[in-house]
Amino acid sequence: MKKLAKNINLYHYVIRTLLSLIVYGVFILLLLLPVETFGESIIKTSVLIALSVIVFIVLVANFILPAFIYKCYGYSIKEDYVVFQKGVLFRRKDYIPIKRIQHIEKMHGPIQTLFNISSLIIYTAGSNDMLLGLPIDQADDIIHDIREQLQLYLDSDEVKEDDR
Amino acid sequence: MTDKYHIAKRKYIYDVFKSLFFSIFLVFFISPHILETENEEIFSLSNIQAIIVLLIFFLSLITQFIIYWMIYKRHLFSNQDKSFLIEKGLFFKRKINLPYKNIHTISIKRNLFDMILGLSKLQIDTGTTASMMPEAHLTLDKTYAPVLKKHIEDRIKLKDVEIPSPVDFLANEEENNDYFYQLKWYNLIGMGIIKPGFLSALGVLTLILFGFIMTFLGLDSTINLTAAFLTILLSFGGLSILLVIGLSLYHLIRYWNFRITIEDKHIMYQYGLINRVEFKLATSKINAVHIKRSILYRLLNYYELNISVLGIGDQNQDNQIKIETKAILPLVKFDILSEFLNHIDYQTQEEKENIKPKTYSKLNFVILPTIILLIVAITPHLFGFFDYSKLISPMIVQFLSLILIIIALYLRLKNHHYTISNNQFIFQRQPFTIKKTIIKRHRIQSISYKQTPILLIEGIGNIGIKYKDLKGNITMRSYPKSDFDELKNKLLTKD
Repeated sequence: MKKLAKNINLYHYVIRTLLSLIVYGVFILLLLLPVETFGESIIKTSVLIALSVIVFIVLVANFILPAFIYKCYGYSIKEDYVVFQKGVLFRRKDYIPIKRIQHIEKMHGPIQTLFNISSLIIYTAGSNDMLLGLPIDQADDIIHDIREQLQLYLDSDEVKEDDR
Repeated sequence: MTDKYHIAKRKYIYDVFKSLFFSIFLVFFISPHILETENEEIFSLSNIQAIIVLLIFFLSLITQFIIYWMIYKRHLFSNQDKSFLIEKGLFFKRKINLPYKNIHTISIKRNLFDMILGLSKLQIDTGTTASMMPEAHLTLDKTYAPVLKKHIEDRIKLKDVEIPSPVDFLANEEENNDYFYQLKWYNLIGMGIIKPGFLSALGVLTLILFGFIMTFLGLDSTINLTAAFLTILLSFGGLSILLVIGLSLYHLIRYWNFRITIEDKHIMYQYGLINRVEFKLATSKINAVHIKRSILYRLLNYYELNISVLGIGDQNQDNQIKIETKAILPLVKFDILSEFLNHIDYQTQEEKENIKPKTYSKLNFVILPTIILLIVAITPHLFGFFDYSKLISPMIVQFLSLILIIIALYLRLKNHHYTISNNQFIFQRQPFTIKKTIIKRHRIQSISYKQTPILLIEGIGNIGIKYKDLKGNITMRSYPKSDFDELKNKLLTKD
């Protein structure tokens, strides 16, 4: 299984922190607000308990899980299919038959460009699978490899057989 | 002797609906006033009064069923030498003799109910000013009505022709139709009851009436619980009948005149009363087939076949999802199903080797969900503020629901398996309504192996398969990696 870009963990720390800022902000604001704002103290306590649980989950997703992304994520291109391996706690492996691929998309936003990484999305007629964190030039090579294998199938008689 | 013929038999359905509505009207609007209770609230009826109300409902219903049947049996028409004769009436018998030469106009009319039931009303008018209404009218099958009309017109023109029999005529009509499959009105009415929705709705109704409502009533010490129970029992009966009527009417209107024609590599189908749908699709565009069998379907040995086809169930240009059924054979016997599947190049033979979840299957499918369920069910009782003597009905409902859910969990495991044969992937699932999906190997778009933290500990995972369809994915639970690898090799690698 091939690995993603080496800086993928750092990218996830940054992007997840940015996305989680609003949750942390609301939690801090709630701590600082006087009890009278809530009418009864029990309401503030209840909201704080509920938000604490959410903040705990966000903290784990923000600072603990990214440490394992480089280790757990990966991809490989076989003769008949492409494999994406994803997930730290909830793991999954997606197998996409090359023959069923309709088109492939590479994209990278401003933050991804800063980290020199991109996302690869493979579309079939009934699904789309994304892998985030490939070095930009490596993504181009993957697309090229898949395209070549797909063309072999498209030029063969097997296409007509499958369409029948 | 001249042959006498009955009016259309399905007019009796119309009479059945009339009987039901009249009986419900009688119970809900007339009975409380007849009983003259001190407090007229429905929950204040005594046991005897509630039983009387029940008796009135059923007696009224049965009496009307019998009377309407006798009226139907006595409603006849025949051809006399120079006149057309109609005989009808049970208590007030009437014979309407219409001399052909006096017949002024003959018309055929249909209202919405007639259209639903496939009926037409043939009205015969002699042009008299004594009555504004036509002198005679007959309820006939919609295809037979024009035939009888033509016959009467021929007789007016002094042609010596015999009246055509409605039975023979309909039989000939059916023979002439070149449909691979069609649904009759009585199939559609039956579908309302035997499709899974009916039993599910009945279950929900039981839960609401005998579970929730009885719980609230039990908390109020001023209510006579026995009378309330009988009233709820009555409501349950009434609502169940309304449910049957509603579902039957829904299927009748939705799938009205359902017909399928097969032409080489194409299937044409049409159905619907209000929104008539006509489709022609190429068999090569079918991506998956789904065979569904509810409990009642299995008892009566019926099958339902759905298909996944591009363009149906997909989004249109305005980005709105087309609400379009994929039920290509909503109610069929095995021989027709098998013939149809063969035509679209899918095999129906029984799978030889079903691969079931083995590792921790009982734990994941039955034990863990049962434990969670029991915790949810028992927790409120631990606080002990219920007066159980007043909550017998809800307690029984809760106990029965628990038993039913545990049975469902067990059946979910029992029916959960897949197999691969003849280039087809076949997956069966669901506890009560068994659904079997067949996908051709080359129609599979991607497969995946998913592991939650619990499944990671158990060393197993869920297999996901995506195929061409809106939400076209299936999940097979609790399979070891070795099963997945074998499946992956069979589905994705070259032969």
